[in-house]
Amino acid sequence: MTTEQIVQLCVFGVLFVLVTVMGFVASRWRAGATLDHLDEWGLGGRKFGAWITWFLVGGDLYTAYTFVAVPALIFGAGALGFYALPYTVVLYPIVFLPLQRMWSVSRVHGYVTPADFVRGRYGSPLLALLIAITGIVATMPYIALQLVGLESVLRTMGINGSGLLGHLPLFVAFVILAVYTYQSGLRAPALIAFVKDALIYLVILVAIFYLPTKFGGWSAIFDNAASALAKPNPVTGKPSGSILLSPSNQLQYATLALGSALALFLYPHSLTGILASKGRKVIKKNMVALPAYSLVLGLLALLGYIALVSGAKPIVNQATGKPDSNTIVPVLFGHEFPAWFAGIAFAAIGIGALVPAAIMSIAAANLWTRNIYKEFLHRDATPKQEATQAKLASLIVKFGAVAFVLFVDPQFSIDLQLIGGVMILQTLPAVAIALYTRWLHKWGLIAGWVVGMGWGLYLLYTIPNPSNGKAHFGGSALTLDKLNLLGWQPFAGSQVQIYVGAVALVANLVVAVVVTVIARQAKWFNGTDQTDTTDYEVEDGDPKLRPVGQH
Amino acid sequence: MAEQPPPRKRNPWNLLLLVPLLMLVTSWFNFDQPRLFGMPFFYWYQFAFVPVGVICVGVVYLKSRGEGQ
Repeated sequence: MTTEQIVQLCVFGVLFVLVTVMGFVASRWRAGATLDHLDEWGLGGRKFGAWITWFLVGGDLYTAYTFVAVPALIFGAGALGFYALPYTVVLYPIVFLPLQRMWSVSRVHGYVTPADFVRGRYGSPLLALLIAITGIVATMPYIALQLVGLESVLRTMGINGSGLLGHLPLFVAFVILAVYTYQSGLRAPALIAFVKDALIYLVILVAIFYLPTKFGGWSAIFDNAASALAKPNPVTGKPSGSILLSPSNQLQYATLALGSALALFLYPHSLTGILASKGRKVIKKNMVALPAYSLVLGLLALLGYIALVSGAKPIVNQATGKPDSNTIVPVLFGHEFPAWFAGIAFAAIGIGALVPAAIMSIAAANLWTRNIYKEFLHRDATPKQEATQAKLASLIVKFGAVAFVLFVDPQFSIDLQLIGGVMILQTLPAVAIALYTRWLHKWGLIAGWVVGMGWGLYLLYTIPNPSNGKAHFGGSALTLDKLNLLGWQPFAGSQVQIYVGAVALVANLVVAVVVTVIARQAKWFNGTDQTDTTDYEVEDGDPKLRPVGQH
Repeated sequence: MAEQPPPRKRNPWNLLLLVPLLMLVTSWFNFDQPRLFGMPFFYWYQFAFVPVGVICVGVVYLKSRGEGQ
């Protein structure tokens, strides 16, 4: 370990201790009457205002993994990795209206999870169970990926041991996180998010104005990056990427951006941040203000090019023996910044992992408690028992994620997260469309889910990645030539690529509509709707809103 | 289910929310030139869509119900 790395570690350590203290103190921050209720533990009392929501949702959506993986993607493939910018720009206009409806109906009926809403809308425990399981399965690898992000900075600071010992610091960090989330619930990440975002903004602004001057300005950076990407990849013999899109990946770029935008607020943890807010006005303000993070993410993505030009080499992960391209941004910071500032940058990424990991584990715990435990195992659980159950579940979820990183190749988490995005997108008809209409029949939704999920997973399985020699789950870009509908290939010979999630969602919707038409002809029972048209429009302060934390 | 009141009339300003989706048409901006501050068109065009998105959502917010318009 070098002197520089020791300085980095010290700065990192101080900031880490600071947020740990905040995490424990958070339980008393704006406390309600009791923490023994999911409204309080799992949703922070449903009273967060515009500022807290901005930090919380921002901290939740723009995660440590995003901050290391997006530049890493640009570093490896060029322009395609920039999809993160259009993704987070089209996101807010798309979700602006549906999220307000979701907030209103959830406050009227006391829903805590998206599956709660589906349960109320269709009166179908089966459909709600499918939504809950999809949410949990899609969230788990996401938590594991936060650990990958945290570990990439630890390894850059020289804590790069091999075997189980190499994972020890990560394990300690996560135990601390698990304990204060257990105690403080959603208030912990909400409070820590302030520190995380302040650090992130500081680091990015410095990086984006200071680093280009060191490498001859943006023009030279883009030119040099273009020639670096044009060099043939030693494994495939083809260029690894380009600074513009190619004719074959433009559709992939657009559908990946759109599909990711549609998927994001279907993730239970994103919705947790929205449901924890005080009112529709808070949500509306945030949809206007959150793109500030998009700007940061876009600028950060370009650091991938700077890393490419600087000649930074990804660190070999001692636990797996392979170079980990996710270390590229930490390596760049370590080389180009003085040690104390690199320490701040690493803390920003590390704390950036803790906030979303906490929110995700809370969201998964809420799903387990409300839609599996209470629905199938303990029907008359009291709110206090629900809260206790959720706290325990949040611990199990986090240790599950640690076990993932400890015992499984990190690549597997990345694959699973890719799969998770395609999976969560399949809940769109039941969660988002149902906010507007109940025309789709519950059996149509179930059939659509089965087909979209099955076909989506199958397609992902068939995609190879020639550059690292993987035969399956090599990416989310499907070549249209390979599209095969029971033997019929509508686009045979086409090299154009498309996002698998978009294909699976279209199949899901088509099946849902067809089965709905059949079900309506046959007059199958479509469940009982607990909600009322006016529930979706209820404004802040309306007497229809259910009191928070009611026993 | 009891007779429900007809849904509220749609606010035409909401159509503004479709404008940012135009940035998904990649063939309009997949070029290197002209550059701005050394950044290829592909990149700064998409950065320019961040304020476009903010303005569109912001206007819809100001024109929405309960904002005294």
